[in-house]
Amino acid sequence: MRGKKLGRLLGVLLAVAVAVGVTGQAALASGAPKGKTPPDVPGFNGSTIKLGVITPQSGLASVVGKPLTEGNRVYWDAKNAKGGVAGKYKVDLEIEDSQYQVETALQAYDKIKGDVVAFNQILGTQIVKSILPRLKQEQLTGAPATLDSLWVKEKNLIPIGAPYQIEVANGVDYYLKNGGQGKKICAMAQDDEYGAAGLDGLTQSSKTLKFKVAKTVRFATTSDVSAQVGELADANCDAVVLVSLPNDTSSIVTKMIGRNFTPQIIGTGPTWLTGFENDANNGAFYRDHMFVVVEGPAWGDTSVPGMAQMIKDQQQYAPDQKPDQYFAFGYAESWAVDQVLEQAVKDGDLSKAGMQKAVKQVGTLKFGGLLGDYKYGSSASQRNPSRASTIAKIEAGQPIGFAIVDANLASNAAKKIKFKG
Amino acid sequence: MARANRSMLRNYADDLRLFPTAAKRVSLVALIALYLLIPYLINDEWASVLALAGVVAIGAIGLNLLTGYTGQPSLGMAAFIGLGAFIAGYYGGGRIEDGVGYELNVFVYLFIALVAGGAVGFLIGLPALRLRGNYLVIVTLGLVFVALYVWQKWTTFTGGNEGSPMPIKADISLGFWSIDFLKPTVLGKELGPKQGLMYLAWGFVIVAALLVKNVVRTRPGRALQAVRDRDVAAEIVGVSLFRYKVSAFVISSAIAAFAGVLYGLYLGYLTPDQTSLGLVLSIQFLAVIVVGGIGTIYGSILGAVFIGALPRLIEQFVPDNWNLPILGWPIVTNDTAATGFSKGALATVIYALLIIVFLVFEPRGLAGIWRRIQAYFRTWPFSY
Repeated sequence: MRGKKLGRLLGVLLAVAVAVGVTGQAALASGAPKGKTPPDVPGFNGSTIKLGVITPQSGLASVVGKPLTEGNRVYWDAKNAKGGVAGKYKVDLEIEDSQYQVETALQAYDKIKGDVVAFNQILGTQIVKSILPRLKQEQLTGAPATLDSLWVKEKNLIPIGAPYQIEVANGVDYYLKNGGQGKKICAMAQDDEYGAAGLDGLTQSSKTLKFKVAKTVRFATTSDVSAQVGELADANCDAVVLVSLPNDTSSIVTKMIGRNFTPQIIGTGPTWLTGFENDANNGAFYRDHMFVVVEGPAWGDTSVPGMAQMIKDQQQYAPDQKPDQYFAFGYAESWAVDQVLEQAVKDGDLSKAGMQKAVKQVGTLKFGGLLGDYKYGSSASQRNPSRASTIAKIEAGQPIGFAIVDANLASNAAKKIKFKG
Repeated sequence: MARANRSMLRNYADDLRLFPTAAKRVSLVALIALYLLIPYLINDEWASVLALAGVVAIGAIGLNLLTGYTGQPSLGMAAFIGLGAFIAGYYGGGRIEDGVGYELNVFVYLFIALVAGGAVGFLIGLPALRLRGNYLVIVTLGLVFVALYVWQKWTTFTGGNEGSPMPIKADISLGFWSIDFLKPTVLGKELGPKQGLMYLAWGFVIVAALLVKNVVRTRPGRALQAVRDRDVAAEIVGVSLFRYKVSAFVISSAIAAFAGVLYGLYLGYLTPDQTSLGLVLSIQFLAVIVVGGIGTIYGSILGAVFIGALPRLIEQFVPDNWNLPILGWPIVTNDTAATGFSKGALATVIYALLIIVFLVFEPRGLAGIWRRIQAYFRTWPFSY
């Protein structure tokens, strides 16, 4: 009796073993990872992927946060309409208003960190810096919506775009090659991380391009800049590399006009705000004496595949959206996260560790020319952002207020820029 | 002979009792139980809210001693918070990668912050001897701008414009007993860093509250209040203005720098700019004591919890799209292009309205309302 039972048990075990072996071999034969369904994890319920967005939706900085988030949303609306990530997983954004305050942003992070697969957007240098230790501690991944070079080598972040150092290097290179050789180049930068990044780019490129920075002044944002503008005027600067935000750009230019000081302004991307070109007081100065260094093609240039895709999606999902560089950046940001998610789904793992692994495997992030390609490599230390910038001259009647005079300029100086980390 | 009611004061010792009635002692036990049980009741998000509220409460207690009890208005809180935060970065190991600073235990640099804050407070207290009212406000306002400039230029200490990370090492080991506040075990449950920081902050809230309560309920406290009510008269009756005004600045600044360390640890990273350490931060602390109650210890705590929790309460209980009942005006909207506030903007508007409402209708703040409720029940069913 006992032997019979034992025999039956062995028979069942054998049958199970054979079944497992057969199905296992079948799975191997069909390339299991490809067909793998990612198991449910926080932020993924088998059909929908949740991504977090921590961005200012109220307050002064919402002029940046709103179009950026709109760009994020439009990309995912279009992607979801095609089935979603890997054609089957829809993406849902969990948007939290940071009010551009670190405390509020940290609480927003703590609120949604357990409900999302990753963060599609975290806006603000100080906010990213504060959230970064928590991302590391909790093994989460997020996309910063600033161009600081500090993010280049951070494995928990998915940076896109050329950092400010690259913008300055390309801007100065363009100036020197277009009549600026032998002229006095000065710099005016705001007294914070962003300003420091711009000046770092200027210092590094001055060694490559072999010129001397005649005068450098710093200013506190939203303060009176008469003294600093006076110093530049007294130094007889022919060109000023300007690293500022739009509200300061306006007051700096007003002071320059007041002193009858008309250098060539080489502005980084954030110096510019659409509408400046038509300003009754400063508009003519901008048009005659300023160019800005940005990234990507002109708004509406559908000869560039990435721009054509974005415009098509914008017309369908946000027809009222006006031309806006932050919208384009937000769109590209979602595109970057999408490439990482596609890789994670391919690996069959949308967990925190799976996302980190996917970042290492994604190779190079591509945006169809909307932004430059960003090489990621197998570790954060191998990352290499695009070295290309677009030089744009201020011109009334253009969608964002400027016309492109040199697209895809990747100067030798920009190629030699080194990043910390 | 019938025994006198416990709330009746018959001598000085009765007046000094911290918990004179059974109800207050029961409340104390309930609060301790709540302190121990709270990680079981709340999630990470609320732990984060409470941790920040605890940090703000400590600073507000110090400010209330100076402004509420001594009558010395100050807008200099941001400078002391910055001092404490950068001490956390420098002595906590935030700048070690740059080859500067130390990697000390949090309890060591909390002490350093106390001493440094007190020393700077002493220097600021000296001009206060010659100034009062609006003039003192201007001096303390100037301190915020001077401090900001110093933080930006003193790169060895603060990291300059790049700022400084603020890592935390908060373990105590006494051989027979040890605890790591980053992962404390409370009632058998291992907790995370948010809860740990919350415990640390609220433990210090209790210490700060007891310390300041002891100051204000004894002879020095009465002297401080005499200085507040009429400093010339106080001096005539023998109160040393130098001693008490400067002492108030020293204690208040030491507590503020202490709170600054915890604030830095909460943020994890701090850059010296207007957004982080500007005048708005000082005003927020003033708002906390206005809403909570000027001249009360628990008012500072109530104000910190209320102001700290307000955005999250709105987030949780106000619908994403909410129109004013009957009138139908859009108040909260999710649509960024439509008329109406986002939830974050609504919190800011309510916060500003509260400051106005409390200043106009209830200058004693939440603490005043609480006292009236207590008085109502104590004299019930009689209205007076």
